[in-house]
Amino acid sequence: MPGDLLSDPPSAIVAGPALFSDALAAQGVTVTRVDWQPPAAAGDLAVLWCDEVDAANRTALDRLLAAQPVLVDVRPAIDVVPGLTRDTVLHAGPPIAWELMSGPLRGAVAGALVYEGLASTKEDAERLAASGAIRFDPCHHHQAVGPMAGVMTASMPVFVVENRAAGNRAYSTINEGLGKVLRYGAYAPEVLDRLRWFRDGLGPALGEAIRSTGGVDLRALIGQAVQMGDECHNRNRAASALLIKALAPSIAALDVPAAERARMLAFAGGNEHFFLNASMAACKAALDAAHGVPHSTLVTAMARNGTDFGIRVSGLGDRWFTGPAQTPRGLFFPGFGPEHANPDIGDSAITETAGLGGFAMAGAPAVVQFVGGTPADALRFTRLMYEITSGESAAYRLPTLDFRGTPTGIDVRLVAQTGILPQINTGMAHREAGIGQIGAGLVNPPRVCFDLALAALTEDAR
Amino acid sequence: MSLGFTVRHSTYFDSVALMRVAEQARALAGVLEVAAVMGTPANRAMLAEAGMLPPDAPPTAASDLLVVVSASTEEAVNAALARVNDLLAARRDATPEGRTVAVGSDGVAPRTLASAARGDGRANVAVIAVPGPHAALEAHQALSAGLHVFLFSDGVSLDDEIALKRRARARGLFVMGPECGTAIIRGVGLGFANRVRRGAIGVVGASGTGIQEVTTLVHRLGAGVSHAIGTGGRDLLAAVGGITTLQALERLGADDETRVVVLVSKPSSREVADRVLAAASGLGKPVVACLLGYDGVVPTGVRAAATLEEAAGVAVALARGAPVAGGLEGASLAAVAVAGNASTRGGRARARQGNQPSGAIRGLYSGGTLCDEARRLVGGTAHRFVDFGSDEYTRGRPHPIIDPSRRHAAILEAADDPEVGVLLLDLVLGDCAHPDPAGALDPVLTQAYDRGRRAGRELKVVAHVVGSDDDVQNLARQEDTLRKRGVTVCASNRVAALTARRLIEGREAAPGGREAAPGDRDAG
Repeated sequence: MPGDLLSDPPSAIVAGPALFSDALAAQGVTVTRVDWQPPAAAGDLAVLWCDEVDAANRTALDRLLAAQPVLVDVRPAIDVVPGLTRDTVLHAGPPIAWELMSGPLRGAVAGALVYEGLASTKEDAERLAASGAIRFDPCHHHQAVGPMAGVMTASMPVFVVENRAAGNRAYSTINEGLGKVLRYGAYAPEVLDRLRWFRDGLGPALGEAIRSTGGVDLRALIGQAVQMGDECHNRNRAASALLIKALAPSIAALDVPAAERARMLAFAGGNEHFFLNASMAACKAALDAAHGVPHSTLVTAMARNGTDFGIRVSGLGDRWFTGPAQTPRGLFFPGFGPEHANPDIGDSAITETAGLGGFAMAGAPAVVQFVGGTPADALRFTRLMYEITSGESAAYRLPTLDFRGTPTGIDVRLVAQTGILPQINTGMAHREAGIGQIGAGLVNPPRVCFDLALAALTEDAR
Repeated sequence: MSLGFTVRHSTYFDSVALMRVAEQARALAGVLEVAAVMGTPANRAMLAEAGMLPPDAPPTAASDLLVVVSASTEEAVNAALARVNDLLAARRDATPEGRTVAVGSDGVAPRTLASAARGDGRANVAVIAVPGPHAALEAHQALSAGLHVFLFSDGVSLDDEIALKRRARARGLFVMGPECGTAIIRGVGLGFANRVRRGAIGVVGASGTGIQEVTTLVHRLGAGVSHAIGTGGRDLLAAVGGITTLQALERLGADDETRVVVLVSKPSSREVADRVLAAASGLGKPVVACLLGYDGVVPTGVRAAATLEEAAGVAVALARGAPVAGGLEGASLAAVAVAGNASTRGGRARARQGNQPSGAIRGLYSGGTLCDEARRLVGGTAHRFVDFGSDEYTRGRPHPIIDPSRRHAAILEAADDPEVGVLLLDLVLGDCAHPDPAGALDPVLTQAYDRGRRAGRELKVVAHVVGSDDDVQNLARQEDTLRKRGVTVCASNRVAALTARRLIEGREAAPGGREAAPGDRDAG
């Protein structure tokens, strides 16, 4: 509610020469001076600063901030993921045809087709994929998200996350750990064996354990992990430990052989990204609740398929605004370098979209070392993200910023005006299928995604 | 004793943070104990042991925050619960009061008004002085953030102005501007404003320098200003319909501190002026209107003033409760009082110069309304007036109140012009103005006199300084600098204009000239 002009002493914000702020400061007035620069994007931004858009953004942001994601189950994807069929392969990022898929995505698709028994060999799988008999669709079109290649098929067990504030659900596969894994395009027998164990052993057991806890409150868990040095995208050590801690009693109580229970705990405990997929589904559940508010300029998804980077905007329906995916800057495992890196891939930027990942880097200074940064850089990254977000999380608070909530709710208007692009923390895949992760680092979306979204929004506003 | 609690579901807080908050809430009067804990079985057991677990407390999960307060009264319980809630919500790295924050400690300054407003939280007004093509965006963004807007920028389209003002009005906000030079809110000057005493006179003005003239004259006359609200020069055009002026009148009408309202307009739509005057007459407090170019009938309850000086004088008389009976008697009394401050040394300087000036007056102004008023008072066709604050001179360069160099050049040109006998100038002091306009003018005048003398002419200079002794430039010092250079310094723009006219008409030294030219009253 705006204040009356004459009732309170002026407290000012100045967009203009220092002359104006200095004069106010000399009068003892609290004044903040904007580091004003002309808008970075061409286009009529002013039409988007209106009551209609403001109200829509408030609604969308309220839904995002109020989300209460709870991990409630693990179930076979075919049983729970809407619109999934036996011949569907879901993948990360915006829609893409088989011919245009990058190496790691093709590898993951081939591996998944063999895993599902739809093909017998990689070559067979590639023929099938190219034949048109397989339906490819983004995870995002099915309330789902997947890291890296993000491939999800019918028999894979998936985390079921329920947003108890809005009642919607989101899904993601179980994280396979590092090394040779399907999400990086690896399709070796050991990769498929692990997936079969997920399907037959780990998945059903986790589901039962989770159900017996009555659900794991991910909002509270992430809030705690953020205060333990995680940003829940590229660093999930604390969150993974907290999730295992929450589930361990129930797993221990399962009616399965002790060796199997030990294997489950050892697998989960040995995978420092065990929580990542749950984090992503939590973010997806929150953002889906904020999607579809007419006129809202809030970004509700950022995702990459290894070829294109795409964003979706709450008020612009199911459209994607895409541009070429960039290659991350960062550190490489021994034997690998930038020349091996695939362009940016994965739905995991859903965490940044929800105010985690690169946006929460101030709380996870360890991550900034991927680009040779210092803790001060980590603070700066997060501070910058406040410039392009319209809210602050009430649940995820940063100790290093005196428990300020993480910057949440990317506003296309602010990105367009400032030219500041969302900061994403990410893993890097080898550009050839089958090799896997080769490093991790930082990346931004291509600006054109936001330019296209801005054009659509201004058209919508006229 | 009373026990109360709240439960906040699914929100993690670090226990140290919770202990700190509890300690702060414990300091409230009547509060005996405050517990803020996550709702784990162990924490509940601890509360139970301490007699702090209310019997009606619902089951809680480890992820639920449980706050329990024990206090002497129910009010104290509620106050402590509210305090805990506030403390948990508070941003502790917010800007401390009274500090200018241009850049955060880590070097990231807010890049947009939206971000700055969110970061500050207390801000209530945006001062916008960005290039015209971008100003509407900034102003709309400020309105979105719930801020009043002081829009200094020019070059904003009329359509944008209308849209901004309508939107602001609907949200209970003011858009002062575009091209708003001056406002004073609760004693705080925005833009070009002078340090004037606080008092009972409220001002609404379409003209920045008009507001400055009225407020500084009120100050000189010993009275003070409650608030001055600028509207921007086009507010009274038919298309805009006086939105901001009407809002400002209504607000000042409701303001307890304001006992008299002065309305300073620019040329306006007749229909809008009528509407504004009708609103003014219904305010329930006296309104003095200085409406340039208005020839309609002024309604009861509104006193028309022909000049800014008269408006200030009448307002001061009304605020003091002095009789302002019939006609402009009170105003002219006030005018004399103002004129009494006019230069005496300037008079001596003129007397020394001897020769009567001839030719025309060249009025070189930095204030548009002052320029218009002087032009009107001087009359005739031989004289030329230039407003260096108008668009054609300020496009792409600072306002002459900030940077007088353009006018300085014009002064030297005028000195070379055989037609010119008297230079008529305004100097505007105050916040955001040049730090020493008289000092900057001084060498230019020396040169101007020289050039005139070499051409065998005696150039005369008449000036009025808009300002107060509390302005950083200091009115007395500025006037003194001018007098030392032989300038006739007048205490108001009206007096300056009339003094220039008398000089040209050659009646300066005439004993009977006093009445018509009060600026010369104490000369010699």
